[in-house]
Amino acid sequence: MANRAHTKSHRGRRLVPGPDPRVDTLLGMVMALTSEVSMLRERLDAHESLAASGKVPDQDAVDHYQPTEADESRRKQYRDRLIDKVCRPLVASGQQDG
Amino acid sequence: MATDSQNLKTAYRPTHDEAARQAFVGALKGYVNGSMESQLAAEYDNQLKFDFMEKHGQEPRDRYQGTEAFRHSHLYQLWGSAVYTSQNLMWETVGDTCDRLEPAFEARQAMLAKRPTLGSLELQDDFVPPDPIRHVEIHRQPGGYFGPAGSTDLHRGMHYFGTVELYRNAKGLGDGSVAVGEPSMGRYLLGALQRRFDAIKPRAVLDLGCGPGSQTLAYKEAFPDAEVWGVDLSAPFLRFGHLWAEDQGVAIHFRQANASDTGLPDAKFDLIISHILFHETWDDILPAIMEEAHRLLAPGGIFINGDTPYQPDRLSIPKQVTNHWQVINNGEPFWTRFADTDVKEALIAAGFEASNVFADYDPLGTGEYFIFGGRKGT
Ligand SMILES: C[S@@+](CC[C@H](N)C(=O)[O-])C[C@H]1O[C@@H](n2cnc3c(N)ncnc32)[C@H](O)[C@@H]1O
Repeated sequence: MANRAHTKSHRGRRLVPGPDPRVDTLLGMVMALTSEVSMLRERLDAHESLAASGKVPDQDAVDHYQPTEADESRRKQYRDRLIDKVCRPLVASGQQDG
Repeated sequence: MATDSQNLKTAYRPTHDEAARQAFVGALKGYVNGSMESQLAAEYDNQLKFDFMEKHGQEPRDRYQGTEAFRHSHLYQLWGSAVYTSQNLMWETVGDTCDRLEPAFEARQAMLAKRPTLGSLELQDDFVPPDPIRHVEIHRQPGGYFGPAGSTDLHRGMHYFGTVELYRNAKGLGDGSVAVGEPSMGRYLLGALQRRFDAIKPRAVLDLGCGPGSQTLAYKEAFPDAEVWGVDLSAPFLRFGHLWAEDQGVAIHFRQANASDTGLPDAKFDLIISHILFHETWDDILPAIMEEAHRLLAPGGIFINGDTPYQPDRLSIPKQVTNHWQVINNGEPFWTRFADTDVKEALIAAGFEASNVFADYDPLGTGEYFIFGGRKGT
């Protein structure tokens, strides 16, 4: 049986760093959401690659799709762009202030 | 789903979506450690340093004064929040893969238990990891390294094992392309050994603080005729390591003990290696670990260690500040004390001759790694 140690979460174990613990909570939500967007984008990429090679992109084919090197480098670009975009306000708000 | 006959290296494969989430969290951590930290450094150079000078009449001289200079920076606070939340996301993301695979690992464990073993696993039922380490969740790994006594859990070992490459690469301390479970750092340390010494043919090799044994395998790979041992405090890690090694048909002897008091015989080993043990153990015990290594080495035997290259004299003030933040908030409580230690002095105090000790930096990935140790006199 999986004991799901990781769901016995980190909360409360350490001092929450940052200007306000609520920022951590919200940022945690934003990061989790962005992670799902990134995953979905990669799923879509797998669909497109399968379709391009004439295969049926059903669930099983996508689940077992092994990205090629070319896929990986394209996906890395999506990812970096996504992170850059989501984090831009964070960096910008830091810079306004000081 | 893996079956009980499938080997674990094949079974340990994230699904498409798990791999995508892991890649995301790796990239996010890379952004936070890379791009965001560069922005912090720029803010320091352009503004914070001068603000501090105006107030105190001098530049910040150490991590404490540096932290004071950063205290009110929004970017610094948001960076902290981003490190914190990305760390949580990392554990959760890899945890999902471990949850899914744990039954397959357990099935494989049950199957292998019916066969004679190649190596061995010695755990002590009543072993209590010493203070202060047992109270710490290193890297904020949920539940820490140890778990309750008597548990048979594999999850902690899997969780560490699945995460460590991701973590290493996001810090620029890996080569970025290593598959989970490849003993890349073990091989790297053998390279560091080769750069310093003529080829050796050890009869016995010890990995101190071997954790889940993923790097230990490299030593058996390099020295197939040697008896290879791994010692660690963590029963769950050793349990995982034993399973992982047996599954690959590699004979390793795992033993639960403190590296400062292994219970192994004098002069048994020709080679003792550790990888990232020292920055994760409390510095009070460091002299005793070095004495133990000296005791365990045969004449002419070599002690070599690889660890994080974060000695303060090598780091800018912003980097010292972000490291110090990790020490306090991200489960690295022993890190700076280790970085402040003069390891050569400690090796000499433990019995190594001054002319036979070394402490320097080898290239690794885009950065460097701290390599230190000594050769026992003949
Ligand atoms: C970062 S892990 C490294 C594990 C392994 N060497 C690797 O490279 O993956 C540090 C390990 O050191 C172990 N450790 C810390 N202090 C120790 C001590 N005093 N004696 C034995 N093991 C110790 C921990 O339990 C943990 O498994």
